[in-house]
Amino acid sequence: MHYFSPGQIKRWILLFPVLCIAVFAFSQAQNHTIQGTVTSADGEPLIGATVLVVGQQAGTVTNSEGRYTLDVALPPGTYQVRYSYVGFASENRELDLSSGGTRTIDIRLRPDILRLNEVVVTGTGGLTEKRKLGNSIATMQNAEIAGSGAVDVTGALTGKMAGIQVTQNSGDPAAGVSVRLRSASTVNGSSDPLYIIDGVIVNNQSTDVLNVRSVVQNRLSDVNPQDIERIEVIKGGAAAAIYGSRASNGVVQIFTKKGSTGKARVSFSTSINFNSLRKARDFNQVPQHWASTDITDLSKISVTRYDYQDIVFDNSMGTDNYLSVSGGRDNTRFFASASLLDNQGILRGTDFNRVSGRIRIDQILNDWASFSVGTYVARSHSNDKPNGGYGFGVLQTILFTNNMIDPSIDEDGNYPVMTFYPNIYEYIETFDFQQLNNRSISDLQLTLSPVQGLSINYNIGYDNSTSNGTTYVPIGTTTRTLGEARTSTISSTKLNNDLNAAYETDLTDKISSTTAAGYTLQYDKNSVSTIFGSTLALGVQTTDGAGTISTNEFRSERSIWGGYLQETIGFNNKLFLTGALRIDGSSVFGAGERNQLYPKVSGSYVISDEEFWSNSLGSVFSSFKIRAAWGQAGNLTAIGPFDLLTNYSGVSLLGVSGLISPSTIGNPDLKPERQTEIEIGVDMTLLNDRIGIELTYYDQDIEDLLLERSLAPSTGASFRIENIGTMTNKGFEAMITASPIQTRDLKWNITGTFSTNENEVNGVEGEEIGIGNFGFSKARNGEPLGVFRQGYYARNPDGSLLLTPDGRPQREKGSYDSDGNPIPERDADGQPSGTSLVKVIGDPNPDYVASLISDLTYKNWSFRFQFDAVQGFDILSWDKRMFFRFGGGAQEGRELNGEEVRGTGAAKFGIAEAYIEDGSFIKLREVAISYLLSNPLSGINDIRFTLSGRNLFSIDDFSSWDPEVNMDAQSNGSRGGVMGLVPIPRTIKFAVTANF
Amino acid sequence: MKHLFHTKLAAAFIIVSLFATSCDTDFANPNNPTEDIIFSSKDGLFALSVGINQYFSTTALRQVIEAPGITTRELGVTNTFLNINDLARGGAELEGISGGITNPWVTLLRAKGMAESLIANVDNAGLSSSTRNSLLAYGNFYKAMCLGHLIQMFEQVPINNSPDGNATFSDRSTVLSECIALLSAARDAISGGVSAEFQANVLGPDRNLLNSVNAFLSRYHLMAGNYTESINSANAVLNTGDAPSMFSYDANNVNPVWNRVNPSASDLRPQTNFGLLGAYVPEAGDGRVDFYLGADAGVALADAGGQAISEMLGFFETQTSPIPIYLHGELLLNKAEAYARSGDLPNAVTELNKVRMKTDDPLGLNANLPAWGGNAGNAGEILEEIYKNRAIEMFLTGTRLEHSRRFHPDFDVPQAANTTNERNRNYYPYPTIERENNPNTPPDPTI
Repeated sequence: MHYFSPGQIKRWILLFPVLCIAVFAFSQAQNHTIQGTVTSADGEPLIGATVLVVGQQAGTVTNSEGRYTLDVALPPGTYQVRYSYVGFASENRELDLSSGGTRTIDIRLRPDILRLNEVVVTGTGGLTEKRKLGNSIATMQNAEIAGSGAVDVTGALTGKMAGIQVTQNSGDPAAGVSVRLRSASTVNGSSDPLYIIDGVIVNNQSTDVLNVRSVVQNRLSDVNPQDIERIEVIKGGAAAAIYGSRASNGVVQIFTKKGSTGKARVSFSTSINFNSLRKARDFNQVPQHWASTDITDLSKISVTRYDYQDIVFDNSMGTDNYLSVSGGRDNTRFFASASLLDNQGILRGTDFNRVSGRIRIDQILNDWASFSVGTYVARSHSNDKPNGGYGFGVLQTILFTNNMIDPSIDEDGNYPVMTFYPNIYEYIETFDFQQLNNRSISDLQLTLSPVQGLSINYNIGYDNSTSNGTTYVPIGTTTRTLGEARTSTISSTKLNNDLNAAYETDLTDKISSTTAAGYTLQYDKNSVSTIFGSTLALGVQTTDGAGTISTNEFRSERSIWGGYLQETIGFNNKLFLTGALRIDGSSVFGAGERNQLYPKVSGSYVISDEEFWSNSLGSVFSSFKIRAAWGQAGNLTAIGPFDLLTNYSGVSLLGVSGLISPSTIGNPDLKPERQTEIEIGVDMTLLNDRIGIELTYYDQDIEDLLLERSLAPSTGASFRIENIGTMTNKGFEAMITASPIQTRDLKWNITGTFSTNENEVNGVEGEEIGIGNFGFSKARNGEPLGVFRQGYYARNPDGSLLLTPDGRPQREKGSYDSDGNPIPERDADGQPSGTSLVKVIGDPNPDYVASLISDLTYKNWSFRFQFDAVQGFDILSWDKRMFFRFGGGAQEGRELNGEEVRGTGAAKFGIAEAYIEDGSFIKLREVAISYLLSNPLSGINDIRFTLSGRNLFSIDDFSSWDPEVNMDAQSNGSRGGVMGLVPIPRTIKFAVTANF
Repeated sequence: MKHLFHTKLAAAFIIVSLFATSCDTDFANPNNPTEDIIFSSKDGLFALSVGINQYFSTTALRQVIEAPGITTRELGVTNTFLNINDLARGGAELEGISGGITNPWVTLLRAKGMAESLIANVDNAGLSSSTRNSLLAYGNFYKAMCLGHLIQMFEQVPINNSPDGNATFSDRSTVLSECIALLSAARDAISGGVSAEFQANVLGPDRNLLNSVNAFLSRYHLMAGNYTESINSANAVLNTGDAPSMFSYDANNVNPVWNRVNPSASDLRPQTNFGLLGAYVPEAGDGRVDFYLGADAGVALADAGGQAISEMLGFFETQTSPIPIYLHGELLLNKAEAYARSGDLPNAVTELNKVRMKTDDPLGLNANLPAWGGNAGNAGEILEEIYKNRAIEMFLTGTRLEHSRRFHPDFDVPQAANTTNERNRNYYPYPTIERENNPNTPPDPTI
């Protein structure tokens, strides 16, 4: 660990007094037994409910009859015992241990539909009940994650909470996923949240090792979702301030499973899934072709038309096997799991497989100290085919081909040329594109509770990932006759080192205080290296011996450090006020900006606990909480590790090396982008806790956005990255949960989420910058991020298309007024004149995102479905555009049939508005039916059989395969571009899970 | 009890010691060195020197030749790119936003900035006086070249770059004085020769720094009207035997003009007869025509003038053809012009005829014509013949706009776009990118 240099002890010695609190003495402990049952309000036993002596290392869970027995060794005194169970309000009972012996406590728990009594840690600095929080926090439990049928963590988050939009950017089995909490909060950086798994800040880089944008994985795909016990999500700066400069996109904290004492539990699950193309798109089926290229000549010849989709797409299969063993004895608990996932894509020749293993050991050292150590190892491999977006790809070849060419290999072994990209059979049969990822994540957590109310947690996390991609295009490939090979490796190591302490005490009978403080040191190291060779020798699949070689290498290191102090004061356990300050710095900030301060304040008021409320509205609103939070957090993903420096470039002329100054000079004043967020909301339950409603409004102001600004050339340079942009987000989130039926045999829970957001960018020099989608997506002042600004139809005053004299649509022309607004102009014939005009023609940001989830259980049967809706967003459909022009689309068929004027498609090809489509969709994301068989054989506790479907159908008007994908993959600003992307498959899965 | 106390103390101590280290707060960039590394050692300054030449000869030189080359019809435009068409059309249509004039401005100022960094740091690395003087002369030479090329295109230019974006502009005479001062200091610094190490590791075998300095001194003295000094500086080169000094290229750093005019590039072609019309059309048998120009290559874009164009030969024929830093013929023409403008017509004609009758040019650029048959007593006629010879001899050296303006100051350049005049601008407007970011940017010239 060379990056920690010894010395500067004095800086940390300040922590000593805090830690010296640890050296208080204790009085002698006595042995006691606490026992009883935990049941629901209707008397049903709760299995696996947690029983915990507050502030002590003593706890257990209930067995299958809801019984518990807890042996503790504690000094005489009065203690609190807490009973908690997912979906129920936790209860505390006072326990008088002035003498030894056995105590029996039976307890009935009330339902907690909003989980207000759930204990969370994210953004709080310590264990805190949700009711005390001034900000919204969303949580997910294991059952919701495992039940989703998703193969990665982010897929499982889809639709499960308000204010989250999860986009699978391609249906390729190795594709990446974008997660946005509330909205984008940057232009040039990433809007993906900060992910923490078991205290390790994990790498979720998008690793482009194939130079194929649509199959760029995020590294969170390495993590097996079946190991997850719980997920907590906070969505913006107001909640995330104590995470400092990395938190403005929100924080997703993941906790994996732990063992529990008692008999070892073995769980095994296996599944098989069948993937298929959900929808084939229209293509040209008219068996004719124009005899002449002259568009006024309408004579035709007969041809055969082919459906290339049949060749490239195929039904496929996958399997997923998972085994976990957990248990423990005395002071030691363990959990171990192994999994093997294998999934084929619906694009022929693509697959993804992942082998992973996890071990966690929890050890209680004594009554005030324990530690937990865990490690996770995963290896994943994919076979890929180029597809999507820029450059050649299977589906691009289809888009660019007039589908009257038989692509089959001829007798001499030659593939017919289809277009300026390779033949579709060549990709499938001769190309070799692969990705291999190795990942390990380890953590060690030491927890001390040296005195009543004080807990200290020391945590070290290590995350190492290596991704390697190889590509091979054989010599002799059509349109790529020289052959190409490429190998690229991205390695990343992340280390975090955190010390957190929380001290809870009652200042008076009515006022409680929780103080939390923490310090973190983080270090990242990244490297990228690529070798590309072309002009390959026959049979050589590597770059070795290639006629032309180019290389690229980049290495970087970065450190981040910070500390926070947070204080929560509770009044009568009804009103809670929290204030916090975080200071942090990073090696990527300029010297004058090394210390960034992020404050937050928040408050929550459980007004329903007041007597006046319960006497009046209490019969309707069983609980009612008002919350408000204000805070700041930063984003440093737009800062490169060396952007603050003026980095000279190496050159070589005539064998002598030299250095030249860069056109983009360093900025010694760089600082993180800063979000100031205010959120207010209410959480309420109605009708005896049958209905729960959470409403939140937020307003985010993001300042200091990092954009490249132009410099006077007389500075000697052209650009500098500066903190000049701004952005705002205003939005509303709602989540409604209802339990209309709760009987012993029949239970029905239904949850709806809704979120809407308005985004606006400002401060861009020169009004706008192009950010992808071939430059059509813009960050433009006064507009939402990523709007499409391009050419549009010339129209008549009544809105109909102004056609050319030949009857074809055409692009609007004219001039711009002094405000930059386009003003159409007409010539003497009433036809457009002037220069071709552009305007904002589409917005890829949805009007709203919503979901509806239903869970029904009847005895041993359960039935579940989830609809996801993303409504009111535009797609820049390059698929549609190419099918206008290259003859393989239905447009050409209509022209051949005489339904439209020949040349209409070619004209539309040149008018961007013609290929803007409404992408709104409602998808049946999940549907599942399962049957639980209890004690089928001796030695088996239960077996569950599940038949589920994912993405079975979509209600949308999109002309191409799938509106949900994105050409620029995980790009932050460039959304809504679709070109030759593999659609997300329809999946049917049969799974068996057995617990022993 | 004591035992527990000690355990807790030990736990606290372990945690504190884990944090009793600090992480590095600054990381060096292993991919790209920064100024502090470059400016503090001989090796760093040598590397910067190599970089200045690499950037100037491959990037800036293209703009130096291309922009005035299009404005004065040396080059015909064969592609629809806006930047080159803006230049071909000229007049008031050539605006500050155009890439055609922004590119030379940006690249020359960036090269000048590197030269200024070199000059500013020659005393910071503790070098021997010989090495220090070599570096200083080299920095001065490149800075003077950048300033000189800029002042040939723009009315005013910033003598010194300013990182704060408020560089002040100086007029032509001040800039020329600065060029002369820089080059004079360079000449004096290396009057005893450059250091052998500098020659071997930076200049290489193809560049003679002292001759190059004197050749440009001759040019700038002439432009400034210092005729005696111009002649003396030219003689300083001519008297040394005059081995050529060249910008050299390799497969990764190709001849930047070849890159634009070769048969597979569709951007620019040399105009037939060097774009000269009427009396300036080369005489039959002028060897320089076949030296520079090959077979007919069709015509330029109609919108850009539609002139006849030829294949490119000469110093731009191949990917790695070296480009001369200065021409032997320029020195003779400088002398001829200096004599003519100072009234010494016989000497002027003598030097002019050396150019016309040249058969032993060190680079093979031989007109091989008979002695001039014009009126040797008429200064105006002599100067016209000197202009014509400059236009031919110094084809694509980035100087024709300067020559056209100096010899034909009264030529009326129209405001309207024009694709065939001898020149379609006197000076270029200042690039918008400079104006928007530097409050000291002067008003644009009227034409």
